[in-house]
Amino acid sequence: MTAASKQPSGAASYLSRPSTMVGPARRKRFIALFALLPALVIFCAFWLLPFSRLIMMGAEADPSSGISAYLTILTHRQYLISLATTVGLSLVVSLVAVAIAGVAGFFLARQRFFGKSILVAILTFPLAFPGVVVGFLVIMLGGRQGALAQTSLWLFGERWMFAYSLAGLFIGYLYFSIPRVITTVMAACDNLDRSLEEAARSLGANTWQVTKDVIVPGIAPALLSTGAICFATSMGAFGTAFTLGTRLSILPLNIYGEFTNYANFAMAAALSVVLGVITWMALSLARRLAGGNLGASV
Amino acid sequence: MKSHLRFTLQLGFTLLVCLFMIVPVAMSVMAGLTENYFVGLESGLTLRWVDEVWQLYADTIWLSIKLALACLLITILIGVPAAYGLLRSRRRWANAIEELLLLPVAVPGLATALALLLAYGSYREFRGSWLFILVGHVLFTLPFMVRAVLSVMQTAKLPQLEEAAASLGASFRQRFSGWSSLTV
Repeated sequence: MTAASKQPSGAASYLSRPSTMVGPARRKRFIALFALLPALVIFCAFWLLPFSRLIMMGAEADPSSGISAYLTILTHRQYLISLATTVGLSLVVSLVAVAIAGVAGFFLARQRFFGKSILVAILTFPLAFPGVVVGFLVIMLGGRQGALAQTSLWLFGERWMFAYSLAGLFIGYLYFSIPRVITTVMAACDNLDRSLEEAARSLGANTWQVTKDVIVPGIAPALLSTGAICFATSMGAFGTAFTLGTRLSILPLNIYGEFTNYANFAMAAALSVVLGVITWMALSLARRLAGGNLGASV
Repeated sequence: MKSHLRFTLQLGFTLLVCLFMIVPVAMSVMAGLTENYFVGLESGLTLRWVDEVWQLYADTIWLSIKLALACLLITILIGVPAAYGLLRSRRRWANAIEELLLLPVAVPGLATALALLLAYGSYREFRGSWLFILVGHVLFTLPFMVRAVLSVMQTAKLPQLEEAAASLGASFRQRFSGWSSLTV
């Protein structure tokens, strides 16, 4: 309902603006509620209720420490380290992805050359890959039989591997972050007012100055927002991490381990809530910056 | 000359990124098509593995497709009315509800899955069935459907059109069929 409906339906408001009220207001509100009802019922029954329970469960005592699981996370080294590792890794991935894809995306948005659409296709189609597939692709690159291992075996006679370590996770997260950033950067560059660049150039600015003072500030909201989405996605990426090794100490794998290996439901719940709060905050920031952009987890 | 060099450098960089994206995909396709991955291409190409995957996992693949279609159907059935409801609600309420529906996407799927397991895991029948997975999928995809439909409805000037139709005496049902053909 718009502002018009709040005004008294006198002749003045009727003349100033076509009234949005047709028929009794109550009936209309009823129809709106009725239309929303199925979605709301499913949401409340299968998300709001379970998640509220999850939040409560996290406050229960952790069997090993005897204090609330939330407090245990904050006071025990192993959880703090895993929290810091996850946040740190996700931050680095987002920064590197934004830097790499920012350059490539800007280049692709501004240049016209033969075969460009193929490059754009190559860079954006992995957007649809599930996390597990990305994990498998990392094994293809850095596993025992991977591209790196075969090259190093041929050159130096030994196998180099990185797939089953934090470096493997880094490559995997980078892999699914780059397409996201590229699509956003290309869209932002298309929307950028080119006359600003021309003005700067005609005032004597060189390419570096134009980039630093006109282009980067112009697409900064898009960069920040897509970076925040990459951060949130990397924080919660379970499929990739699970494919690459369950012994790495990062939050999603900790949650899985606490739940399946130790049946420590309180700790699994508390870690999930902490993870959820962090990604939710990152995505809210992203949406505030860019508006209308949904985050999608892997 | 200088701008030519810059173009070449940027193109080279972009090609490197493309290489990073495409090499593992190409490798896994090759791995799926070579006779013996550990020997390499010399062992010859074959579709045997694809066939074997189909033999072993055909049921799984069909189940995945069934899940995806069922998810799409349910998301349309509850998402389209929900978008209409949001369009017709007070701004403040609509924003709050949209924000709520977005929560399952903002929180990692792992957390949602754990919440569902802890809440409904004790219902063995439900937990063991594909419907349990379907619920998770619907939660996760619903906001995308609602947002997309809502933005179409808004740009199609739906409120104004509907008003015009109503002022000409169209019933809710007539308006509904009118706009659904318009939206679709």
